[in-house]
Order: sequence, then structure tokens, then C-alpha cells
Amino acid sequence: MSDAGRHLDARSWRALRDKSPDAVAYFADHLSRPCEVCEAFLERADGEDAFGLEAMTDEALGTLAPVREDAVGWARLRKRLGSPRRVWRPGAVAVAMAAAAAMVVFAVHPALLTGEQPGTSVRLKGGGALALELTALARLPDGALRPLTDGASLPPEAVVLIRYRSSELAHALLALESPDGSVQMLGAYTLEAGTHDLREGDALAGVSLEGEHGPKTLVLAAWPRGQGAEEARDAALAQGRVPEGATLSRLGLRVTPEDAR
Amino acid sequence: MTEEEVATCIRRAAGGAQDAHRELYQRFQGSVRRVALGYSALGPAEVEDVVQETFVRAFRELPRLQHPRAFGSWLVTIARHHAQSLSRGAQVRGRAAEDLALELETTTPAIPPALELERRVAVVRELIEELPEGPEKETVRLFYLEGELSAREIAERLGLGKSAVTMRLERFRARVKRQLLSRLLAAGVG
Ligand SMILES: [Zn+2]
Repeated sequence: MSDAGRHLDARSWRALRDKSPDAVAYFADHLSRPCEVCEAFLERADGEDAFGLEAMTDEALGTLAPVREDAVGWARLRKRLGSPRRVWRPGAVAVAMAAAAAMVVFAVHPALLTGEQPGTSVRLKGGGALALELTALARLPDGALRPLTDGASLPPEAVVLIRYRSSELAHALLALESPDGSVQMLGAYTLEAGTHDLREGDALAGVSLEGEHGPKTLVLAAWPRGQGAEEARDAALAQGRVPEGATLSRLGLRVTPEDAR
Repeated sequence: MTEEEVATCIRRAAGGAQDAHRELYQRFQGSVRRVALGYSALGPAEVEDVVQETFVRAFRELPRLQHPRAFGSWLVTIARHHAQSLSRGAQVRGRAAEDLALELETTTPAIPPALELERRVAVVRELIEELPEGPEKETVRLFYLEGELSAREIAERLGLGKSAVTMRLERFRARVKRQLLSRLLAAGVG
């Protein structure tokens, strides 16, 4: 019994790593009971983790607490992983958008939502009134383009193209809301005065619905260009939250697989 | 989320499906965050950085993951590496991460049935219960069971120095490692 009284150290650790039967049998038993000496060794041990102990431990410890949703972290991560947007050359699609004269135009503002004061604009602190409207067109899997009404049903393969009307230059963000309150930030934009397609560089911005399911709401949030507007927009993006202080325009969608419709 | 659902999710995520990425993030971000939050040297922004970096890296390398069941332990390994080097203020963070890539591929060990996640969680719960009432148990309970506070916040709440909480957590982790190693060895000889 030369093993008796032996504790974990560099030598016995090597023996275990080499699967020496004596060492394995001894420590399987010895470590089944608390031992301050061995625990101190394991506490110090970093670097080589031949048994995957660190990971097994962290994984188990991390599983104890209830699972919590982290919408903000996901929005950030999603942005970093590469946004879901798809972009097209303007040509054909832009023409089709111009032709879709029957597109439903609507605008929803915070004041309207809260029932305080109907209207199409919101006065911002230190700024003028910004009027904002959002319209959209879907490009379907078969290539067809369809103007969207509020609550329209779309397959996940569809891509939504956005057109806006803004009364002035503005900083904006586009987001996708889910009924559970989670928000996906889709991107930051600068809006021109007038009616325009939402663009990224010289291409149209498109929102892919891939991986989405059920009711979703597209939100365009804008701040009239001026002091603090860009900062407010960027802060909202970073927080992954649709801001209350911006002018908002929303479009409801329902993402449903083609064969279920 | 069952093990099978996780495996399916991983396959879909490896193929680029965004909803699968989201589900994996929501399912695993808690345990990744716990690893980073245990380092009292890290502030909230750094913890966030560890979480983000871990998933960016894991998702990028997902197609290389050989056993979907090892995904959870793979994540916490990446997270611990990041957290450790950040807390040491290492300048070689990028390099450490690159080294890790090789390591991960070859050393993610097969986990014997006696050490599947459910069994390990049971072992940990038992170890917590066995702790005598006192500061270590209180710290472990707050940090791992409730899982809302960081090591820093617990230190503030308990009126301790920042590093005292990390030390207590490390001591408890060593108990867990001791118990898991014993089972691992027993499974090896059994
Ligand atoms: Zn010992």
C-alpha cells in the first residue's frame, strides 16, 4: 500500500493522465471524499486539462440557475454575425416598387398608440415635428413582388423591401419586434426628406424573414437630424430597444410557411 | 430543450439558420455568462464582451464541432479562456484564442454516461446541500443557484473584498472537480 496517504500532485496527475491502473483505482476512491490537499491542487490547476474537468464543471454549474432570455445580447450578436438583410441592385425592384401605387400607407406614432393625441407627427424635445411613414413590398420566393398591407401573411422565404416618407432629414433604425417583446435590430439608416426606398449604399435594403415564425412587426424609428439624434439612435441600437422618444412607424406581418397557408 | 433538439439546432446553425443561432444563444448564454461573472476583476462591459466573443467564435467554428453533445462544454471552455485572459489583462488574447482552436478539436473528450450533464448537475446540487451553513454556501447559492448576481455584486452585498467571492467560488469549483474526477476515474476502471 505505497499509495496510502497519496494526494494529487504533478506526479500522480501524470500517472492518472497515462491511465496507470493503480493510480486510477486509488484516486477514484480517494477523491470520492473531501480532501483539502487534493482540492487545493485542483483549484490551482490551470493550463492543461487532460480530463476536460474545467468544462464539465462549468457546464454543470452554469445549468443550475433558471434559463433567462437575453434579447439585448442576442440583438448585438445577430448584428455581429452578419445581419439578415439581403440587398439587391436597385434596377428591377425599384421599378416595381414605383409601380406598386396601391401600397398601403400608414403611420403609427407613440402618441397615437397611447391614445393621447392622434396625428401623424410627434414633437421632439428641442427639435421640429417629424412626419414619418413606412410602406413595404414583399419579394416572394417565385420572384413576384407584392405590396404589403398591415398584418399580411408571408412565407419565411420572402424578403421585405421598405419605402419611407419623411418630412425631413433624419437618423433612423429598423427593427423587427416579436409579440414576446424581443426585438431584433436590423440596421441604422439616414433618411432623406421625401419619399424614398430604404437603401444601403446603392442597393435596396431588404429584410429577410428566414428563420422567423408567427406575428412580427417591422418598426422604423427616426429622429430628426440635429443635436443628439445620431447618439440617441445609436444608443437605442446598442440597447436593442425600440425607443419611446423617437417617431415610430410600424408594419405588422405574419410569417407562415407556404404550405400551411 | 432536449438533447436531441440541441443537436438538431446545432446542425441547422452550422448550416447558417438564424433561428437556430438564436435558440442556441438563449439556451446557453446563461452558463457562458456565469463563467465570466465569476471573475470579479471583470466589469459588466467586459463580461458582455466575453459572452459575445464566445458565441461569435463558437458559431463561426460550429461546422468543426465533432460531437454536438460537447457543444455546451465547448462554449464554457472558450468563455473561460476569454475571461481568464481578460482578467489577467493579457495582451495575447487573440493568440490564446487561436491556440484554443487546436486544443478544442482534439481534446473535447467523450463524456461517459455517469457524467452526463444531468448527473453532474445532481452531483453539484448534492455538494451544495452538504456544505455547512456559512459564507461559502451563501456565496455559492447566490451565484450559481439564483444566478442573477455577479461575483462583484455579491461582494458588495456581503460586504466583502471583490476577490474574496471569486476565491470562494474557486474553492467550490475545486470540490466539484474533485467529485467529478473521482467519478470519471471510477467510470474508467469500471
Ligand atoms: Zn487528497
